[in-house]
Amino acid sequence: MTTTWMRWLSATMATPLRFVAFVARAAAAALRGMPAIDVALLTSRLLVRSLPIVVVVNFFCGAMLTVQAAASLQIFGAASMSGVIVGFGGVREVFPLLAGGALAARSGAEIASQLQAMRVTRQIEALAMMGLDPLALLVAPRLLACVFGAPLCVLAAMLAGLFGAQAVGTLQLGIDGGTMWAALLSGVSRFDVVVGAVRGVLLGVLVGGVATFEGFASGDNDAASVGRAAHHAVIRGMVVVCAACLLLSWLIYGRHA
Amino acid sequence: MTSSMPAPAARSAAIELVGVTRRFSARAVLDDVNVAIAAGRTTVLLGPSGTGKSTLLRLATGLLSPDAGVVRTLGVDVFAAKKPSLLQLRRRMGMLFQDNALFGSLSVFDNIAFPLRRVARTPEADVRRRVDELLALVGLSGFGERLPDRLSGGQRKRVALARAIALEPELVLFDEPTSGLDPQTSASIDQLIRATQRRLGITFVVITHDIESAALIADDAGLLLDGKVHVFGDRATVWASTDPRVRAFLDRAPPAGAPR
Ligand SMILES: Nc1ncnc2c1ncn2[C@@H]1O[C@H](COP(=O)(O)OP(=O)(O)O)[C@@H](O)[C@H]1O
Ligand SMILES: [Mg+2]
Repeated sequence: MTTTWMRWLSATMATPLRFVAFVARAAAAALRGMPAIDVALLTSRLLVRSLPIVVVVNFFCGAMLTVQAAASLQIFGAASMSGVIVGFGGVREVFPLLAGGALAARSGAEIASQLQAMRVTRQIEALAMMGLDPLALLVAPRLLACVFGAPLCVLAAMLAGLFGAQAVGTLQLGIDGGTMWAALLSGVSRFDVVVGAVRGVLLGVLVGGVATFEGFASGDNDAASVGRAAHHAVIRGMVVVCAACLLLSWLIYGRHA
Repeated sequence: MTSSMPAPAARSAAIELVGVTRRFSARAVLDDVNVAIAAGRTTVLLGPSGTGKSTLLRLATGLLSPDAGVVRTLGVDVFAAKKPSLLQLRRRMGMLFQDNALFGSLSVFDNIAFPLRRVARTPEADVRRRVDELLALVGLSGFGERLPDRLSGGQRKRVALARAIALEPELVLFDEPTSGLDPQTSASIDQLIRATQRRLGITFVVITHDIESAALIADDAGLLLDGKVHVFGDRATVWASTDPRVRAFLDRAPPAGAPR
């Protein structure tokens, strides 16, 4: 009876444990240092790839939230206050979540498929055969790039969402620009911005960790594994992002909501 | 006097496998393999596809671990070695992968320069000189700026050889260097392998199922069958073997009962 349970548990926990051990090893390699230029190039590449989609998605999300907030507040004749709802819910929850998702979809997929392609074509073994450590050389700088890039994506997402809300508020709903912006910001404190940045670092570790894990450590090297690594990085990356955001919100905002 | 004669096994072996077994999902791909590959020569390991030739090479480099037995490469017990000494050992060998494993985003020059820059930390002026030298050695002078994609299969193999010998290894491993190449290109790669080995005097280990190629480059030869080294010795001895299975492989006789 107990053995069945334990077997079930160890089977279920094997991959998560392997994942944690992998990220820990990559983080340790990152702390041992690496060429700053590699990390800078990878970070700027990540931003170039992911920022546009982060901005577009969140601009429209901010706009749509405003439309719905106005529609519901209209009932109480308080449509001009719709910015408050977007400020609270958008900046604290929805925009960071979408930033994490967009990051997983764009840069997570790219990192995973790139590493897996190197695995399939034996480039990773070629590095190992030169007496180099592929984990330190390939995984650690990509993980760091995600850790540096993700907070910027989260902050950009917050701004884009607010601008989207402002645009709908003033152009479509006819709310005064100053009133709208003040309502938006009334929902946002400096604390929220700090939490957003911290959340960004966590999302960077998770999205980068999942992407490098899927691309580097899947153990597969068949031709189809490149596509598989990419879609696992997206799907699993998004699931992990959602779970982490939910957990963080409970911990930080849950008690005085 | 006679008692101080070195035992044959003590003659310097570049790679030594003692009782090595490796399984993949319960099937023993290599089954209690014993072989000693002599230093300073070219040894060709032959065998039909799927007999574990690549597996043997990967064991010798520590990229794969055995289920039983000892692998000694350049005098180092590969699976007793700690990670730093394993990395150190790998710097003393070069490997040509079946599909070359060139870095696709780097030019030919940067591919060959990679181990010099990243491993040996060679000053940039020396890198240039050394890469030009290597390009000339493999007959690719003037191709430095190309991307690997823009080369023919034979040229890519030459780049892989140049990269593998850039750090002046003591041992170079070749995984099917002529597979997928046309007969003429294969012959030119065989010639290059032979000439390079003669010139450097280091140990080359080549695995292949290409008998013609083996006849051209081998000093020693072995035949892998059913997870065992079926025969091993100098080329003339192996080629003169009367063992029916060796003959069948070398004479390319189809297995009994095979469809015609
Ligand atoms: N990583 C692996 N996982 C599972 N099976 C493998 C793996 N590597 C090799 N094999 C199996 O081992 C056998 C020998 O493979 P290999 O050493 O590549 O043969 P060869 O190079 O002689 O063609 C093949 O049947 C292959 O399917
Ligand atoms: Mg093979």
